Amino acid sequence: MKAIIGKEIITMNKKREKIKNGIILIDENGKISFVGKKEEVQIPDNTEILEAPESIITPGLVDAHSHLGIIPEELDWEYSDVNDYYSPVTAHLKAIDAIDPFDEGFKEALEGGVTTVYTGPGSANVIGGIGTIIKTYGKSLTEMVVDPEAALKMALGPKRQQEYKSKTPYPTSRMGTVALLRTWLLKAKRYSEGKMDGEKLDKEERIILQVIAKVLSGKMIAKIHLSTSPDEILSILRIIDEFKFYATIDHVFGGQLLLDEILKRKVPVVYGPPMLSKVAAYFKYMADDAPVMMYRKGVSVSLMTDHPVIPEKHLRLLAAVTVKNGLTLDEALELVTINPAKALRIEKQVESIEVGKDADIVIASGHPIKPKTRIEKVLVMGKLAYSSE
Amino acid sequence: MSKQLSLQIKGAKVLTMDRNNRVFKGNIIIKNGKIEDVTTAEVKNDNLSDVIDAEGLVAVPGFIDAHTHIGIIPLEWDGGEQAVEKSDPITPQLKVTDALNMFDSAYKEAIEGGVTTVAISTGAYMSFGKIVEAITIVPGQAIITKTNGNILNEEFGIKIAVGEHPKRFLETMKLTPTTRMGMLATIRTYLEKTEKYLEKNEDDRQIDLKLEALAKLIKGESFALVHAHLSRDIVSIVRLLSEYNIKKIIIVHGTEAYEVGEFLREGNIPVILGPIVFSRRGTELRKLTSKLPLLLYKNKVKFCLTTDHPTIPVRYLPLLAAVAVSEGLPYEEALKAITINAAEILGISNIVGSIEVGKDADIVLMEGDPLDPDSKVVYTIIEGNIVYKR
Repeated sequence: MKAIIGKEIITMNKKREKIKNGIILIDENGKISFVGKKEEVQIPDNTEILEAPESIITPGLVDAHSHLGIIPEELDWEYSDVNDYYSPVTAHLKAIDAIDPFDEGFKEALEGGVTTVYTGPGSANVIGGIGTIIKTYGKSLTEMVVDPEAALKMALGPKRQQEYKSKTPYPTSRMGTVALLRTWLLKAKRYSEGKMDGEKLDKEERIILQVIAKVLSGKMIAKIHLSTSPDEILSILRIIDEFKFYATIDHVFGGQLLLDEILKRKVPVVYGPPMLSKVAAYFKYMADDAPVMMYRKGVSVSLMTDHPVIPEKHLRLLAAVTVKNGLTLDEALELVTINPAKALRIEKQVESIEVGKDADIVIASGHPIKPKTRIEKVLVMGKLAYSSE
Repeated sequence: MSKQLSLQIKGAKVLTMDRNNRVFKGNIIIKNGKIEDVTTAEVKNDNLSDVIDAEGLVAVPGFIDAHTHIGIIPLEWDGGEQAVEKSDPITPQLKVTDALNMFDSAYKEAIEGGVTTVAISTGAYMSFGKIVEAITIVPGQAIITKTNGNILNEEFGIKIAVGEHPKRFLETMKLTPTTRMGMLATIRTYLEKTEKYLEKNEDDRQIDLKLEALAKLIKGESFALVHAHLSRDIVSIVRLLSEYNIKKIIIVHGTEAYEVGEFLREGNIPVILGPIVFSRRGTELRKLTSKLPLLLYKNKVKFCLTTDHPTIPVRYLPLLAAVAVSEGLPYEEALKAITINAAEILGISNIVGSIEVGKDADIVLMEGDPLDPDSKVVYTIIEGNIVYKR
């Protein structure tokens, strides 16, 4: 058994309780077995005690959208595995087959207090492949993985197919992209209703349909990349209305102009990354106050690093950017803990410091959303994964 | 934004950033755009002065970003390349002022973020998505300007880029040279030509704007702004410049500069570091981490921090300083890295960089700790004028 004692525990539970002079007990399975005031509990014998009397304790941070371990650190672009221009529909590709658990990015993530990430394929294809939810620490990839097949990546936006010779031509317009997406969703619907003879299908096509069918049945999250403009968001909201699947809409530049439309459908938004410049007219709708506006409206907002666009380690700096643009420190903390956990549907396992949840814990010199705060120690599943000493 | 004769800032906590790093609660008296007095003594209202009640606010010198591309890589711009001439790898004659878009919204954003002075340089920003950085060997010159548009020095420096970035870019553009040896030899040839050029009487010289520009380097009138990441490249370009007795050298980016700390210290060469938050994309940036400021500090190399705007939007400069603190850089050093150190490196510390008598009244009033995200800029003042009010 392990115990952590700190100046203040920001639990991020439903009541947003903060416990002064708090203690967390962690059981042998790396789960939290007690949270409360120090005087409320008798520390069992043989407990390893981590005392941090000057420190603030929060849940480990969660990044709802990255390419960690797929686009490698320290190497040039030719080593990237993020986009395969093989065909515009590659639902059968799996991020888990490309993730390098030894990538330096995982170590750096821990330095920044990030303990859980979604990492997945890029946006080159209309249906890009299956993304994985993974802890940033563990003995092996198997131990790190939370859900190997958590979400199916879909993407609108310009396609760069002309650079490659794929076996299937890519659509070249928004209309073409949405039509292709709709075609596959309809096919998968028919397939899952048993109206298609699977045996007669091409093997690859059958696997693709099985994957898309999981999105339609709600078993898999549709993770939809929308990075251009508000009308692109509307196109995809119509698709969601039509097929009624669970989706998160990611990047969502321009979402600030569609607050009611997004709120009405209760679609979680994964904004970002913030802290980029509008280096082309193409980025006209990018706005660092957009996540603030969506949050104020009541939309479920998470942030993304889109690692390596912003290094995974600096997720909390991105939360600080939303504070610069109007959120409070505690509100911004939601955007990198509870909200992404909910968007990724892993809130029963991670998100907050509560009994029964994974002991993914950050011990810091101050509020973790203040960039000057030092991350002192990070635990993943109760194990010390990082120490600044 | 009319020119004010006089302005009094009363009751602020003043972080002077002066030599003794004095911090006190007091008043700042501004006359004709200059700081006339910084005092704890009571100051009487006079009818001629505007007064800011700064009770509860923190006054810091306007922030300085020593390396940006504001106005030359404008935001929301689709009108083509502005900052790099792609037809020729050596273009020292190119002047920032010939392409400067004063209507770039980045000026306004800088002011809102409390950034009052910037250097603007030719050359590329660090773009995540691009495989090859668009930068030539000598892309052109750099200027220093206030973010209200007041240009302080039009011929502050000449940018020289070495390493993998120009090498790969020239290869892509089917230009030569494409090796480190070739790039250095080309620079040497030009410096050689410049020396010969300078030996002639002015009337006997054929008009050559390239050599005119490079002459400023040799005569010590402009800085050599060396775009370099790798320590090997830093050492070789400094060695080459020394052959021509060029001493005014500043390293820009300087990812691996900490590895050659002693070398830089001996040559009195400072580093405009960063941005310290960026993808470690490619071998050139493999050692990029937010620990770099601490490493330079430990190696006693003079440095300041940059956003390389638009790589990181210029208004977030103080957040980068805060990140450096989280890695162990002393707080005062982080604040210096975006104020007085930047001013000293740019050679303008006689007029900006600290709140001291006689300097330009470039002052930011904030709600609290300037490095905290929940401390908002309340006023930005440049040369005594309130250019932003929350």
